[in-house]
Amino acid sequence: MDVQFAWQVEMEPQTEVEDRVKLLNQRMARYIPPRETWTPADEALFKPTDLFSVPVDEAQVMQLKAIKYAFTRQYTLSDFYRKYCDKRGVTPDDIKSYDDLEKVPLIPDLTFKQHPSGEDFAHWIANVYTGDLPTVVIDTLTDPTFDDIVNAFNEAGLAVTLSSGTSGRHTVMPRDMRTYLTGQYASGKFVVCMHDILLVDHSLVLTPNPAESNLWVAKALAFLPDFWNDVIQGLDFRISADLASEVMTNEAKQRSASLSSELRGRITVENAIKWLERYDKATDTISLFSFPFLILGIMDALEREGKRFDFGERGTIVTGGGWKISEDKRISTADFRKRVEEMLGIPETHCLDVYAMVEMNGGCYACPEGHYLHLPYPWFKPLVLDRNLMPAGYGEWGRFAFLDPLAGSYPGFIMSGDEVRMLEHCPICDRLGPVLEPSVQRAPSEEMRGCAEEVRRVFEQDFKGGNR
Amino acid sequence: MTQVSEIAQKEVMPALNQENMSILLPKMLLKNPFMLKRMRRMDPDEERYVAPPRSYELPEYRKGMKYSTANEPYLRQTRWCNHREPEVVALAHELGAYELSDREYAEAAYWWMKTNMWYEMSGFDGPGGTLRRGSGACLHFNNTYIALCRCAGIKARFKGYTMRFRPIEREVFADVDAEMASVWDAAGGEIPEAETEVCIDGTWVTAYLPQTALLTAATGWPIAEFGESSLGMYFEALPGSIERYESISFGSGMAMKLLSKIAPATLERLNVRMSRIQKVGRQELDDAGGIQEYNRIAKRKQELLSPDEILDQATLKHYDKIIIKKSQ
Repeated sequence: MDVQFAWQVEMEPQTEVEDRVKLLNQRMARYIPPRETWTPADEALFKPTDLFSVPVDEAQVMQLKAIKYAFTRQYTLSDFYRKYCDKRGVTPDDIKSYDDLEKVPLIPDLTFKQHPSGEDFAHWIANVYTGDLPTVVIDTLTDPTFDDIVNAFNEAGLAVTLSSGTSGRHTVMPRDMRTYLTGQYASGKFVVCMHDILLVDHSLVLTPNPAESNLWVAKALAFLPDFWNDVIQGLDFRISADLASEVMTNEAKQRSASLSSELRGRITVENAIKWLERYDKATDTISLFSFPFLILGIMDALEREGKRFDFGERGTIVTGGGWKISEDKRISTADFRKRVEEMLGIPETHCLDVYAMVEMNGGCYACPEGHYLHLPYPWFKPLVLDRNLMPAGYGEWGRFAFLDPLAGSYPGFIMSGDEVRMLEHCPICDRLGPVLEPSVQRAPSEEMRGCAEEVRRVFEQDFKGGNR
Repeated sequence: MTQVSEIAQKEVMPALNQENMSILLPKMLLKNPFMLKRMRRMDPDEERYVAPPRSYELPEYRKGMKYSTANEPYLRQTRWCNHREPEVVALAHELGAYELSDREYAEAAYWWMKTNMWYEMSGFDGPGGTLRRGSGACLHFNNTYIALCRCAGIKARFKGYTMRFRPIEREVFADVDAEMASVWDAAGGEIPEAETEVCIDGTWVTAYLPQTALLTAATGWPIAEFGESSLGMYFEALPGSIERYESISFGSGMAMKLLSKIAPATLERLNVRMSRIQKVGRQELDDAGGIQEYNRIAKRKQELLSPDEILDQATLKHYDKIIIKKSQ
């Protein structure tokens, strides 16, 4: 299928989006694999200049090509996935048309939590991993810990990342470097096609430091220093797998916060306020990238100190990771944006939210006009499953699932534990492709998770009750 | 898959880790008296448990109602399982004892227990007490069902096994407070579980009572139907742990009684949690349009969602490229 679509013709940038993508490609050049090695999924990501101008019917042709290629690869190279497909009676030969994509066997996200401990965990990662495994040397004084094993894989050239739920059991995803870099480029390109934030002068990133943590929320944002000009990493401390697990179970709740944890929280907020003050009187543009609970913590501190800012359109807030702000409280995205406007003077159209998960490469970004979550439809097939786990129509609530062909090193055909409602197109803006309503929820009986929740619990004692 | 060699026959329920826990708990309390305070007293800002009213009217007992007087194993009265208690006899008759076939009656009694009982941790008592209250825990439900069957002249026994908590069960049961979690952990994370078996036309048929329909529905799992075992459906028995017995052991019953005396606050916290879970289960059943439809959906989900079906850890391939060194 070598159809050349109009948007594939390379030309000099004509529009603002084209300008931005050109600059992005310069900044993130090392994330783009050599052209001669592009898979159909790579083509769907790298070829179109503006991802939101790809006509839906053409995108479906690209999706089919990309997903069929990815499904064939996984079926051929992944023992466990092939056995699963055989049990379900589906082979790559069954995928002939776009509608056939719904036959691709989906893996429940819980599968990636069911790993054994100790040395068996290392072999579990190797079993889940698709591709040529490098030699992995785990060198420890005692029995290897969870972090020892993950670090050994990462030192061998993989990007094994994790995410937790309230059970404290990590979801573990093994990525090869290509999948890892491509996923980050996908995030960058998607946001650039959506928002004009690439030329922001200064950025404060309050998410875990990718050099200090194997959490997905840390590693997935490792591209930000390449993406933006001047990036300050505000959470510069180590979050081990054990700490992430501890805070997601009740173990940490029974203890009072340690002094270092309290100080850490206070210093993070104080530094963020100093950073905001530095640019308050300037004309430079700024962006603050963090979790809703942490930005609320900063705004609470500002309120206690009687301070407010008026950044206006010079400022941008980017959030992700979920909207739980305390053990029993969530904040609506609309209320959050109102508070940002009130305390920081940043308009609602400059509050951007990202919906992503450790199993996905790239993410879904909210449009500034309506805050609906746009899906990367040129390569990514979203599904909403009804109670029978059968595909539901647009407008129906159901379990979110997706076919992500950018996942080269694991089968990216995932059934999540989130409940969503998908619309055929955004009711507010004119970008093409389907969207999710912003109010994503956990499915009944599914544990609470989200990367913001992991980090919120690290800081739990510091922000509760506004006691500082 | 259960091996014949794993099955032993006993007359009395082996007192597994529950007795270990009943020994462990006082030991741990002696080492840490503060633990006792937490397990006995609710904090002022903690949510209190309010037991819901019983969901049914108890039928009236009338003199002369028939009940089994056989004195043979699995039919006779055993410790804490008196099938001649008036509440048991009256209910057995309402459910069709001596009118329906054994299978029809055992199945009717099964669904009555499954849908009318409220899961609540309390001290242990016999079937009459459980029926008067309308609530109990796994031990109560198994015991009451066995009494209902024996009352109708149907042989009934316990089938116990030991299993290991998965993270989700640990979170629900053990993480209720730090004290409870520490006792569970000290006991090694293994717990005894039991289902019942009733003898119908010479064949032992399984009936899994410990989870009420509401409780199971909250987990998204299928509700075990009459004849279905919890093994393979919800849990895996530790090898060699499956045993059949006629009666609850003294130790197990006393352990439950003791726990309610020593740790009322811990049990109340657990009941608050279980109450929330059962309300979720009720919503799930209502949304699905009843147990039958719920089960149809849940069984399909279980078929699709079972992680072990997808990636069986028992058959993991070992890779030579993974080198584990233990430096000195």
